[in-house]
Amino acid sequence: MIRYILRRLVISLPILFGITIITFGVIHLTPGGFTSVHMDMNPNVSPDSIAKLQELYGLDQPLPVQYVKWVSRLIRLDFGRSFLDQSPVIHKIGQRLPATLLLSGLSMLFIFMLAIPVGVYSAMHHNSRQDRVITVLTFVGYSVPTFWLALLCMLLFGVVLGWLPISGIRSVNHDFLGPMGQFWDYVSHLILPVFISAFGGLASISRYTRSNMLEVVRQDYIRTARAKGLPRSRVYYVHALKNALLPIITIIGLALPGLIGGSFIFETIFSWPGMGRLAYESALSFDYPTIMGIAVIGAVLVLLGNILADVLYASVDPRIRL
Amino acid sequence: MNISFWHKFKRKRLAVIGATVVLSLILLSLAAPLIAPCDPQAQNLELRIKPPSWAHPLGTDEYGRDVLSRMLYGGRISLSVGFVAVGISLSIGLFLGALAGYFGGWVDQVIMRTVDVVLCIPTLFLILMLIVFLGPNLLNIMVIIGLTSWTELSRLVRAEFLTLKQRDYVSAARASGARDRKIIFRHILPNALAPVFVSATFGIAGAILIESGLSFLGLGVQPPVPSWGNILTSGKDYITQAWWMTLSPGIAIFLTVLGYNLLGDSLRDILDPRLTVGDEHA
Repeated sequence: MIRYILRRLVISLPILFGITIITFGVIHLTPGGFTSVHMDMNPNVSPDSIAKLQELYGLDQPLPVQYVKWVSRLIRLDFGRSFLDQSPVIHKIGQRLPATLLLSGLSMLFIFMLAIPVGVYSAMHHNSRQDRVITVLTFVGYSVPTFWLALLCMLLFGVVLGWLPISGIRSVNHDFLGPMGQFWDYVSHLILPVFISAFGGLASISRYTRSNMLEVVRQDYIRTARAKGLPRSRVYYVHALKNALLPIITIIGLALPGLIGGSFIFETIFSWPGMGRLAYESALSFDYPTIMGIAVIGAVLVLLGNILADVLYASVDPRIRL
Repeated sequence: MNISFWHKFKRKRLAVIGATVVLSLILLSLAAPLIAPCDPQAQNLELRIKPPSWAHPLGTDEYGRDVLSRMLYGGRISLSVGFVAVGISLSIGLFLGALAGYFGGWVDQVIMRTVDVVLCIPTLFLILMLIVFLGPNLLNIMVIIGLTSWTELSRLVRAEFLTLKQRDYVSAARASGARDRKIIFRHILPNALAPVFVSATFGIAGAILIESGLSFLGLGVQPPVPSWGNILTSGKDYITQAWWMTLSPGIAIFLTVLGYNLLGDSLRDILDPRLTVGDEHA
């Protein structure tokens, strides 16, 4: 197992290299040169920080030298300083990362707790009326623009009913609440963002579970289990489900870029103090070092997530030998 | 597109619904200059934030502009983003996927490892980064969405090529002296198009969602040019007093995306016999 993980880590080094090449390439896409266009007009950028940026990327030097300099700083986690407040980018991201991980972790959990039972149910009642209703609902689910749904939910639960707070991670009076009050305060701020960011995933994972189940129940060993007289529910829930769920582990890995990348839309709508909103804020203020840092760290997170998913998959599926 | 295709297509209710929605939205936005009651950018400050009426069936916005006209013209933006972005990602995905699948070896390695890398960078972050560096305008958005969404398509095409290139007719073509280019484009590609077509249909839905999401955050098509996303954004600030400003763009985006998704799913069922077999048994 350890050897497998090590091998995966070694294989991902070239991918990491590719990630840095692409992000580095993007900086140089700006028409007219990286520091000239937006920065002369940007009140947040002092001549001093332009000089620092020149130094960070070595912009006066040939491209390969610039790249090597930048990467050697990346390795030391030096992403430069933000244009907005001159604080190190790595600190800014470090402050925001926990909130993003909390939100995407919880919505992932929510997706699996709801979508898998729904998918199994749908497969068990294949082609029944319930199955059709669920199928239509899943289509609606991945066609609704989630930012619009977020708006409607904020209006309904936040403004009309007044049940839930609509923005931020805690209330203004958070520090004056008791322990239970503080806990509920966090929970109530989490409900809408978690629900909304899970929404698209709910539809696709339940659909995926359904088609996997339908695939698995056609296998010979299911017929054998049925033939030896096991009840249908036991065959479905024990024999079939286990095998149908295996590929879903890989889906966690595949869903990760979407959850992390998509976070900037949800986090912006709900003023959630996470990495996605940081990306959005830095985009609007042309805070290049922060954006670059977020892109690189986001990609590395995804890479690690994929490795984790593969390792998990390999450790639960006996057919895969390490 | 033979007779049995249309026969199966007409029998699927969801396919017909999807196609109807998609076609009517295309027609409506093509006909926008003819049927829009007002100039989408004409302001009338006496008519600020008026609810739907006979003169303005979808109400007016904060500058007194007719929401219906803005919606019709906004539809042109959304649809053109969908089509152009998918056109770009199709060209890249088809080309690279075909090369990787047909030639294999180091060509395959280079292309597929590049795909791995691009898949690692969260697409929306990549799009965000590119928009910041290149600037938000219609052309950039179409190109950026296209440039960031070809990866899955290229994997799909590669997989098709891997199986198709083993077929006898390919060997026959090669034996008769056809060049690689001819075998790829004339013999294999036409047979690999069915799943590509399905994926492109889903791709249009995805591109429209991304564009409207970007516009919603102010990073898409810039006002005063209307797009469904930015109509929704301006409505957001008046959501408690003027529901019509957010309702129509939201429903329009939803219906469009739903239409393409339904169409894509039905096409997949019809074109991929392996899946329909599973649905009829069990």
